[in-house]
Amino acid sequence: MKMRLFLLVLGIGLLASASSYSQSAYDLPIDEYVYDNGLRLLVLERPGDHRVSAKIFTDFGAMVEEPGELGSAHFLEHLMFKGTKTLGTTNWEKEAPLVEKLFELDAQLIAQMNKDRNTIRERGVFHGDQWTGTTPEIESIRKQIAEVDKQINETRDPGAVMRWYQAYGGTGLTATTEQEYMKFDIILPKDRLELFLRVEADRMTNTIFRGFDEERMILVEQRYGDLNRLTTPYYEQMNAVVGLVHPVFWPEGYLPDFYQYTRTYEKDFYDRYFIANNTTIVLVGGVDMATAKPLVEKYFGWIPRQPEPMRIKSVEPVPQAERRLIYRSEELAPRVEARFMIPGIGHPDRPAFDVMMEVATRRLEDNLAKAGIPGSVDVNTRVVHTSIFGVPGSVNFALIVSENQVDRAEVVLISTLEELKNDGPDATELAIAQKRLKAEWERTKLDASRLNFAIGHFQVMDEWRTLESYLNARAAVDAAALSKVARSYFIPENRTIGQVIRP
Amino acid sequence: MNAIYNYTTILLLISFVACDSGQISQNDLAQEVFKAPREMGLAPSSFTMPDPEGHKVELDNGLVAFVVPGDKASLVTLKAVVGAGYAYNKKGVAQSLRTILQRQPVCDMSMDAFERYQHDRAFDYSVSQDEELTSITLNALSEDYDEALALFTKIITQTCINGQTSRLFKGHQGVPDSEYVKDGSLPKAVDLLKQQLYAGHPFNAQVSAAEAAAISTNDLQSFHQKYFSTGNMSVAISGDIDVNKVKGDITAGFSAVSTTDRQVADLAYITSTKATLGYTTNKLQTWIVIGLLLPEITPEALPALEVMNYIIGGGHFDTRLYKETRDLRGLTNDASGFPKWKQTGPGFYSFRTYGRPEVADQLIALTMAEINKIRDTKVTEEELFVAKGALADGVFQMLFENSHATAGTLAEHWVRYQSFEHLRQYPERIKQLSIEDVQAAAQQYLNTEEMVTLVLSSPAP
Repeated sequence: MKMRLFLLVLGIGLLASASSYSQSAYDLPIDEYVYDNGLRLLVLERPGDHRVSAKIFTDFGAMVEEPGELGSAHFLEHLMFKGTKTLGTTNWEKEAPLVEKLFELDAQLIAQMNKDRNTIRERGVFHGDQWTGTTPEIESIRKQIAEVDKQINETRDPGAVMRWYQAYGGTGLTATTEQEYMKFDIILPKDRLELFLRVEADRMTNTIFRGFDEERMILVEQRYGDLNRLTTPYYEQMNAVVGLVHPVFWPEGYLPDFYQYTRTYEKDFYDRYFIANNTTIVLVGGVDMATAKPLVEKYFGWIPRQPEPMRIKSVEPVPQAERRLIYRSEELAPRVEARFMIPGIGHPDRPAFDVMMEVATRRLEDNLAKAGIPGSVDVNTRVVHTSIFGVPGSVNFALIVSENQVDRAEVVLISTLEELKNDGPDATELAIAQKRLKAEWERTKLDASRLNFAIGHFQVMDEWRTLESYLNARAAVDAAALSKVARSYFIPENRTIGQVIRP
Repeated sequence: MNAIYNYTTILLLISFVACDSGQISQNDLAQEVFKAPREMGLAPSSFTMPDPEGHKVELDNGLVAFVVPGDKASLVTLKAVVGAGYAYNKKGVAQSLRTILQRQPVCDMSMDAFERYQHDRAFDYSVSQDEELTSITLNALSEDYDEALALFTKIITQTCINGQTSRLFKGHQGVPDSEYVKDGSLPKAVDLLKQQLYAGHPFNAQVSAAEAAAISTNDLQSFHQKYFSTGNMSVAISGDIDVNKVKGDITAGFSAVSTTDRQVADLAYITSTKATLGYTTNKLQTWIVIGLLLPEITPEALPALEVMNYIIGGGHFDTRLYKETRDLRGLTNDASGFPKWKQTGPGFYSFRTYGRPEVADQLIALTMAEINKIRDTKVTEEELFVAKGALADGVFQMLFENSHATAGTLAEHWVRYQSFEHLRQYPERIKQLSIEDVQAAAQQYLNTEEMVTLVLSSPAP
């Protein structure tokens, strides 16, 4: 049975004259349709827009990875740029048996690696970053794989998936994989929306993993790029101390991981998660539901519903003790940082932390100055690359100071957070915080692509309706609410202190 | 590509055969919808450029402003585009004024107070500057429009130039780069090459400590008086606004701006000589920039350069450089071409890539091979089709993505040309280009005898 869930939040708000909706500054007239196969379509029409921001979100991300294969979700995103059966080859008939052969060899490779497990096992502690174990038998299979890949390259047409987006005026061609989602995006002239649906339906059902081993090296390059930033290893150490078991705290792959990926492992991800009933298409701009619905039906309607993908089972245990990290570095700016685990999107306490970050930033700047400590303040909720999650993450308060002021800065940091527990912000502090959050939201609204992302991101973290209720709840946060969450969460048992000092 | 489309036909035939035997699969059915994109019958874009004249306001003093309303968000953007950048006037004066505009643009607020003022009102304030233009932008909630306008007007018309603010720029010039570069990066490599190519030319952004020390308050005031005036400046206000009120506000706020004729720098066109430059750094990757200076290029000729660059390395997924270095060989995360056209002097065209140290030589060889190939052979009809669509229906349309973007585009174009003909004609000029035009552009602008290769290398692991 087809289900049509048409919701004009603004309209409901106007009808319910006394409800909070009518007062909402965060009206989102989103039109929703869920197809028989479970595919969800969300449309936010913006009359007058001559372009459409189109994104396709899959409820799949790094949190499904296993240790030793970290980064494999991100790698799948790269592979999904390599083409399909209809895009990316000049001769699929010739390529198809070669692709089949590759998977046979991949199975042999996995079997051989399992057989040679004690030979290739990692035994060292201070191994090289590119440590890999191998045997002559493993190398022999890899050589055969390379030979088949070489044959496939003879009919490859690289770039074809994105070529047509470019040809028809597509801009903002990107894809992102984070802990909880993968998305592909494009901004197209509104008359060319159909191209997005054609390419993405093809990508969802027909992806062929071409150039697998070459692309593996692109992840190595991206990892090198990350490691060129001095903060990367420090943040990874901090994340590892804050979270005991939850994969949200795991990085996007260490170098040895990139050499472990196999076609079979990636194909398993692709088959299990890239299904209609795990997908949301979000359109924002010069398009309405009446136009979009039949087009989506044409390209995605034929795809059968599949078993629901496995949920994430990890639950981070209740924190029991203060943790402390000492990170010695010659080059990274000295600092002290306090991190506290905070709830995920969908939990009633989460909106208060956005206000808390604004208030705390200003308080910390003032208190640092009052203490006569030159430095800067960085308050955020970032874990790896993302700042909001549908699972518990962390709020991070960092004071970047000179080498000999780290201990004094820690006193300022802790005492400032204690202040917030007892007094909360005054009216001026709160008004400034709320104004800044309001401006940030308006800047999101201005940009169709950012607005689209916010809607889709909330859908994969919880559901898209939570976005509006989240914004309203955030706007209603007062001093008492802030003090309450400070008292609940800023406790020693939930605290991780990091210090960056010179060796 | 034809083989792919033939494949689709084959699949359809297979589907019909499968139907006859009652074995048709969902996947076979799906193939029927995956037509080749050029056979989908996609409609031409219905986009029409906003009429600049409909947004233009001309004050009695001659200042031209643009007012563009938009209802997408409760925001206003106030922008001034000044037709003078760091190539104008005495060395370092423009950069010094930029520093004042960034840090202490009004005299009744200290630097800290100005920063706190912006923070507390959630203003998003920025100053950008290149060789030829300086832009000052203030974005605010529309509920704070009056306060934002008052501040913005003061920043532009009463910039705080005095003995104290004129010192803000001094003492931060650093020391010239040696062969070892701490904390190397791609922007650093690009900067190093620009320094070399523009040595002795006003487009060289480097200012020495002695040059900075020689900048006086009078220099700054003269620069401001000369260029923050009707001949070289335009103002744009956009977003959630009352158009009539804004027109009145602009008149009230900017009528005192002095009336001048347009002042344009007339700079020498210089060339570079083929060379290789080496620097070392302490990171995990090696950065490579291959570049040269561009000759004088008229706005009419610019589209051919842009199309040619788009095909070889226009910063997207389907370019020759990207495919050869990344897709097919896994050598780099990116390889792109950047033609930075300039109106008053030699532009800077560079190809930029990076990778693990052991592949650096291969990256250089592949980049040079593609440069030679696009000079020596014709691009395909399909490559031309893609580039034209990307520029005319993509990049160009994004200049008018919303009211804020439109206002900024119109103001900048006005400051450069005092008309909109080039903007209006751009899509058509793109569409008219032929394969021969693209090759001619490659031969004209990619002179390998003038190309300098800069390698900022990290030690091999």
